[in-house]
Amino acid sequence: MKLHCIAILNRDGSPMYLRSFGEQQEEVQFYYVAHTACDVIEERIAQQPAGDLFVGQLQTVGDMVVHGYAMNTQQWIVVVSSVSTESAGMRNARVKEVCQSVHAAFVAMVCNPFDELGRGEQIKNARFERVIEQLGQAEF
Amino acid sequence: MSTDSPTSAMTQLLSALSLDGKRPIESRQVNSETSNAGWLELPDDSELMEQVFVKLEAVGFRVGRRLAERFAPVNRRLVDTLDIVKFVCKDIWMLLFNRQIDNLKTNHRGIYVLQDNKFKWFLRMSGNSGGAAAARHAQPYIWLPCGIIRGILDSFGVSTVVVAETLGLPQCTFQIKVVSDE
Repeated sequence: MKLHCIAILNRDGSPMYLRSFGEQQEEVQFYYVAHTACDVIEERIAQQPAGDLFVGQLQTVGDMVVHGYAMNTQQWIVVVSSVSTESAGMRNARVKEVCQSVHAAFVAMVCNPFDELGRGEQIKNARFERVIEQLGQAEF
Repeated sequence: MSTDSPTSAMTQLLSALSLDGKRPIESRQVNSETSNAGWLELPDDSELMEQVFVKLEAVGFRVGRRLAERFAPVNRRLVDTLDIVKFVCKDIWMLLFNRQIDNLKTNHRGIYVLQDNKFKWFLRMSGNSGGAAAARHAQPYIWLPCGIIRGILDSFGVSTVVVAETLGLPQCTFQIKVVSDE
């Protein structure tokens, strides 16, 4: 299972960060997929308000599988990965780990007192990019 | 910044904020014969105090946003505003002041009143001239936690106005008013 893309979006759907690995798809495609995933996340959260932060598998688009993770602080992480032969449970567990690493890196970046992230701004932080790069290159 | 008494801390804070380049704040030598011995004479200029309030509250807001990101629960979701306020009362207060809020009241329509009977920062404060003057002098110390609470609520998506008052050291009350977007 390879990761295609990791995206972080605001509650209102505006993208804060999007990083694609590999050259299979254009980035625009990933923006579209992440945006449509927002609606599904909202639906799932409305159904189950007091659940886990990891929302689970949202949808399957072609050969891409989309998972979502909703932070308490109104941000969403969307992970697009390739279809693989593992069982859904295993894949969920692996993607959940990825989401938790992204969340940890995000928190570390926000805690920087010199890095003021306004509403609607893009994330531009070298250390954060490095962590995402490592996650993307890792083979699952 | 060495601070061994509330007065020197206040002096350094006010000069560090350098609120007005034209009117430097002088630290007046405390005369032990005056009734306010031990307390810095706060400038009576309410416009200046207004600026202090705005700056302190803004700093608190930024700290609050980071606190919320860092310490938000990772294994459960905070469902509604009451959950978030309870998170502030228990977890955040425990982290900042090593104790919890004593009393939480709400009218279930967007107003929450948090009462702390032994506010950590007030425990070592006292004044010679009586409770009311001491409470007034302690006001600036309460503005930073106001900003922190507002910052935390804002990063969970709830916009609020937070005011605080103290009726007598070491007790203080924070009032959270939810401002709806409509």
